[in-house]
Amino acid sequence: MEFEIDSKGKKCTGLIAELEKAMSDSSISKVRVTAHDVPTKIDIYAWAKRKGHKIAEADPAGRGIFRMVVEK
Amino acid sequence: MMLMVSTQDLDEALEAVKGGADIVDVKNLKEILVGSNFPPVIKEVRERVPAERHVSVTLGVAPNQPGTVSLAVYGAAALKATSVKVGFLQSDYETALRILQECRRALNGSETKLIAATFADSHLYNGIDPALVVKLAKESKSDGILIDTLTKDGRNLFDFMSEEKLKELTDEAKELGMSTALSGALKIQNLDVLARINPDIVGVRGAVCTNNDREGGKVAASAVANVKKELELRMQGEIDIYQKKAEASAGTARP
Repeated sequence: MEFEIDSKGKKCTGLIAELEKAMSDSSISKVRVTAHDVPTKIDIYAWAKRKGHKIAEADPAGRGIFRMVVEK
Repeated sequence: MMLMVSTQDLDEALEAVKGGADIVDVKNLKEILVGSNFPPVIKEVRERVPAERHVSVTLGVAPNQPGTVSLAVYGAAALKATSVKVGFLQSDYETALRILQECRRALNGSETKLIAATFADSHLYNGIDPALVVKLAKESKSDGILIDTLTKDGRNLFDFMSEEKLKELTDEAKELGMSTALSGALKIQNLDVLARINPDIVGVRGAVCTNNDREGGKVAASAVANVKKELELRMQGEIDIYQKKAEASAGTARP
């Protein structure tokens, strides 16, 4: 199963915690995530590396907007 | 990243809003090291700052008295503060934890967020290890963390803690779903490293005050707007936040 997270408007509400929760759900194999700034994109890469997940796709989608697919 | 501006009165709070601050922090620099402002000031700021902008309250360095501190936290919630920051200096871990647990209990049923704060320079004051902030926040069920400084001699956060350590603590707190904030005499020149660490909140005062003077100066909207713009440029990728670091490593850093 796929899951989708958009960081827009998620100031201080824990995008990384949401990713952590989604990826620890055994029924979810990949998460599509949209980051709305560069530091958030960097955070997601660093988090995926720490957790042993793979960034399967990563496309710039506009000024400071990045779409990524995180896979287990 | 949101921009938090520390203010001491309504005039400064309105300047911060005019300049685009996401969070108006209310504190009192006239009390030793840093202290709380007066309830009527906080009330007036909350009433005049647009509801969509956050108003945080700094309790400053909390005394080692759980009842006193939790009552102050309750007061911040009654004043409809978005968050209240409780900082520890000359506390041992167990005392700080007990204080935060009582603060948590005092905030039951309130929307005000509890922020556990430590000081990067606390070793100068025989204080609590700043790296314990995530553990402290987790065990007390606080909503977020803040790492700040108390030293007023020109040194700042990065003189006391490394980028790597701050990044590690910030990442750890984020994984636990906490908000993360860094502050401590931060300057525009620190925005690259701050963007690499990516806390949810960057707190400034001196950098947005007239003459860059956090105590004698006043918050100026134009300076707030400039910091906000510089932050946005880094977030949108229009300024390469790794370039200067790479140049420094290669020994080719430009002045």
